[in-house]
Amino acid sequence: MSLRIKLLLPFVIFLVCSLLFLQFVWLPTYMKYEEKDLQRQEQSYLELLSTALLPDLLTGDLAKIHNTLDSIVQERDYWHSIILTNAAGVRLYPLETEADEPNTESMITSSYILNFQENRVAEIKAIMHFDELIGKKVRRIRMVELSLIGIIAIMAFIIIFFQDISIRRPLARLADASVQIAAGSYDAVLPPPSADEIGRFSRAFDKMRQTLKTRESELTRSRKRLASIIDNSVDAIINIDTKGIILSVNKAVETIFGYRQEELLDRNISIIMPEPYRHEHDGYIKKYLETGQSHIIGIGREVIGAHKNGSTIELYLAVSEVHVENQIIFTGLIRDISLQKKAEESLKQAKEEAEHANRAKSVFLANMSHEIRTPLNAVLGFSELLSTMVTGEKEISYLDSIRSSGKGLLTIINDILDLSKIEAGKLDFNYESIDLERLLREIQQIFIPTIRQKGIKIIVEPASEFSTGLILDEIRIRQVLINLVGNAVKFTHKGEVKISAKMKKGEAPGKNNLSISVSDTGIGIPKAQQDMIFKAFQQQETHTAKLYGGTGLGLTISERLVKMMNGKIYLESQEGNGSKFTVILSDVKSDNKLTIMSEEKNGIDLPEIDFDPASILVVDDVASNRELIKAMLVDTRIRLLEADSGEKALMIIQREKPDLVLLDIRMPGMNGFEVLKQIRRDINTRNIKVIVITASINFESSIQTDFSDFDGLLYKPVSVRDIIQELCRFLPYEIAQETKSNDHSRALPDNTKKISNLPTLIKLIETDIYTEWKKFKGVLEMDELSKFADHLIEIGKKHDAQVILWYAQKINSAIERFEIDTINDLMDQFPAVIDSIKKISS
Amino acid sequence: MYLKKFQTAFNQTCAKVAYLCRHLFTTQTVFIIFFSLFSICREPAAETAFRFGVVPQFEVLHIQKIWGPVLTEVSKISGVQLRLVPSPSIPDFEKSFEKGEYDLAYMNPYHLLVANKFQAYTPVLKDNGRWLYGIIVVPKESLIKVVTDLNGKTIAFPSPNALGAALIPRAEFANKFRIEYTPKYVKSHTSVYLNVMLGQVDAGGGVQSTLNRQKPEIQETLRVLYETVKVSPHPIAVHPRVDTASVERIRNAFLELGRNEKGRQLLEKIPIKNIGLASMDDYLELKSLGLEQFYVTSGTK
Repeated sequence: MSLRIKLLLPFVIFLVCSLLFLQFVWLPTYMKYEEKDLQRQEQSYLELLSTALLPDLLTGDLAKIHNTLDSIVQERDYWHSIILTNAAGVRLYPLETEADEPNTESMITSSYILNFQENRVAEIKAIMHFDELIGKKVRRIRMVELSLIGIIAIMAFIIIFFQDISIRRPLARLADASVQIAAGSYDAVLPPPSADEIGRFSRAFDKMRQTLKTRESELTRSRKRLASIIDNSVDAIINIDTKGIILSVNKAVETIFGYRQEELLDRNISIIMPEPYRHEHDGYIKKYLETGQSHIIGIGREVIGAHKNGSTIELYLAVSEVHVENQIIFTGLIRDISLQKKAEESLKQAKEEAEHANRAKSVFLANMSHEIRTPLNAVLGFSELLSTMVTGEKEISYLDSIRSSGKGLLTIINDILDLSKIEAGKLDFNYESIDLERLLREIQQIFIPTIRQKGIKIIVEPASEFSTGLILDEIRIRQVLINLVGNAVKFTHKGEVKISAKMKKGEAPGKNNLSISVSDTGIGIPKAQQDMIFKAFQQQETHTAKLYGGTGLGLTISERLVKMMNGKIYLESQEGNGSKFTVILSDVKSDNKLTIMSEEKNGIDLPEIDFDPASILVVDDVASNRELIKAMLVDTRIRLLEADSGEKALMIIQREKPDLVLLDIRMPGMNGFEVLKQIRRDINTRNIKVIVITASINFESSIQTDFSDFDGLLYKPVSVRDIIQELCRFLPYEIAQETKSNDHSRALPDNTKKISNLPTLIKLIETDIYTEWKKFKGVLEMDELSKFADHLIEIGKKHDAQVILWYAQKINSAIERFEIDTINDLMDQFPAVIDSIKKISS
Repeated sequence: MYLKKFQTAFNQTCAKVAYLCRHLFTTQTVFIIFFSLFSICREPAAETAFRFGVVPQFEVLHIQKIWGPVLTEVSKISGVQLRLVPSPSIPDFEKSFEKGEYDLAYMNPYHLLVANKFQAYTPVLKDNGRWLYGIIVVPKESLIKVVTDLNGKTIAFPSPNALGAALIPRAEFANKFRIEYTPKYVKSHTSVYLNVMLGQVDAGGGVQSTLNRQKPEIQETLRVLYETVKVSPHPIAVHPRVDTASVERIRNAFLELGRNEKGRQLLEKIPIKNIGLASMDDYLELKSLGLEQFYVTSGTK
């Protein structure tokens, strides 16, 4: 419906309704009302007339009455007739004999009874018909109606005309312009800008057109850009609908799939999928649409595609879901990763090679350590034994050099092995309840000789809260703290080294953070080097290394160990003003039960051990190793058997049934494990205790056999103490009575007779050695103690004094294991040892 | 002649001015001044014009219409100025002639008797072409056949003093027929006929001329029961103060009118069919009827 009709229609409807209303509602009402009104009016007129007629009636002036009524009838043409009757009912007017009663329904009769002095005089009846009168009025109204209609029609025409000029035509023109704009033409003529709303509309339209034009050109540009991006994309971009029908593809599909673009359009996406994916694809989409579960929407993944030539292609596919006007479109971004895959494959290969190489390196390292430690075991062991045999000072000094170099080498190897163990993540931690305060005291004790020598103090400030045990790995904590304290002592020339520890409440109940700090007043660490010192093989400065020695691995190992124990080391230091290392271990649990195992262990000391007669088979392919163990157990009541191969060992075991077997694992031919298996397989030998001895650091990981297969484990180089301790677990022994009275002589090897040049020895002991002992006693500086022990060994060997050798080896062994208590005890035992030698002389 | 015309015109003008002044000016002074002027102006005319009265049987305007041309003509012929003096009603007219206010007057025969008695008016002219008498009408189908049948009945009359229609019949009813009846005065002859026709009364008194003028349907329903004695009709009477010469000239002028067609036509409207001389002797019979006892006076009587 046009605007014109829309505008005209209300007018027409209004007019029609008005006319209908006028005609059928208002007019009849009006006529009725008018009729009533007229009737009323005429009635009152009739009354008036009657009153006027009364005197004449009374006088009987009928002529006058007739005249009056005649003239009235004549004058009032809508009065059809007047009938006047007297009281007796005689009609006085008109004279016509025939009654002129109303003959139509439209006739209205109005009557009035004239009374005079309460007597009825006459009745006047007027028969009226208002049709004509009302008709006249109605005609007049009709005229007004028609005029109104005419005026409204003219007004409507004028309004529509102006509307046409000012609204419809501009709108039509705007509509044309819209159509043209829709068709892409922006040059349509717009209506002249008037000041009214249409003008505003027109201006707004023009503005919109300009904006649209600009936007379209921008859109075109961006579309072109986008298209060029899509077209030049190396990745294929494919849009599909929910039925899998391809809606659009870019050029890259040609390169990737070998199809031309138009070949793919309107085809199902399965065309570029190999079996079995081809048939499963529709199911995927259906499942996704029904359940919303997808393996691929919003997640990139690698898939296999089908090339036109039938080959398969490795692809990376990322699918996104776009909702466009109630339609779901899936956009797939497909990248040909065949080359990448190849590269990945070669990388993987390279990695595997690298890992292989790394494994080889580890194996090499393990082998190296074994290979180095095994001869070193012999070197140290024999130089230890040799020292008892060599007497020449020159030879003794050479031997000392060999021993100290060997020990240094061992330390370095141990450090490197520790580090490689840490790095390989093959370090095991053994958490048990320990007494921290005791540990700190021990560490203090260890360093006392050194600090005495350097003239500095070492202070332990334990907190009172360590009344209960803490669940820690004592060995590792000890290792860390000895390292930190050792460093502090090493780099402090005056002042003090302070060890303090405190607990800080942790987050979890029963768990606390343990903070142990080691501060010194030493040379400090320059800021620039503070970060470096925890890195492997880094020391403060090259000259520092020269000055202070060490591998530089200590802090690195400490840092790693702390980290592995769920902690961290913090360093605060100022060059020249000392350093403070703080170890904070998180979530350290407390325990009321203190492990006293170490104390028990320490309670059993080697000089007190007197094994009951027993037989031990030493199995090792290296003769020197067998010799070393033999030398170590020479003063006991143990009978030693030897085997240089697994096969021989089994033979001897079968034949001799020894109480215990010390079994080397690495042997040519039948190795230790096989020997062990054989032993355990034979019902006669099953119960024989087997202690495995190995130089391999990777032993635990390479073990194939159940741990229950062997009874003990010793690492090379094996010290006398290690062996004694281990043997104590399986062989019956007695503890010498003298232990309690601190008399160690009975525990000492009874080979006094063999001591050569005893007085010289005693003299030497009482002078040099005693002084040395005094100097080192209480100072737990391992290097110094080691020197002391070495010195003792040197003297012991020189004088063939087994007791001294034994004593010194025990010290060394304790040093190696950082068994401070043992060292302290041993150092305390020194006077007893001297006494025992003196007793020989006496 | 021109002077008279002028005078008439002047008088009319004066009258108009006076009328206007009465309406336009409220102050009495102005009124008096104009009246003085008016009096001064008309004084000479008053001396020459005779006052002519006419019984107001009809409305004043009708009388003026009938009598105006007649008097003008008579004045023209006689050279005696006659001025029509209108009278609003019969009682007024009666009072006027009793006082002798008219120089000449056209009156009914009974009035003549009265006027003669009081002011010695004497008849000079009358219609010699007809007689004046009354009629008694009854409905056509009425059982009343003779006048005496009317005894005890109701009889309508236009007015008590209507000569032919009431006075003479009443006198006759009383003196000649000696009947008792109830009179009903219904103002007009037509009313009488209508009352009779519609049975409102048993009979009615009228005159033949008025009956003849009724609508046929009225006439058809009525029957003349009785005709009264015939008397001379309306005379033109003269006051004794009018000089005989003037009377003579006037009489001649009327007679002159009766002789020519135009004059007759004018007289016909009065109605005078055949104008002729009259004397008191013509009305002696009427006098003998003893009408005065039936005359109902108003005002002074």
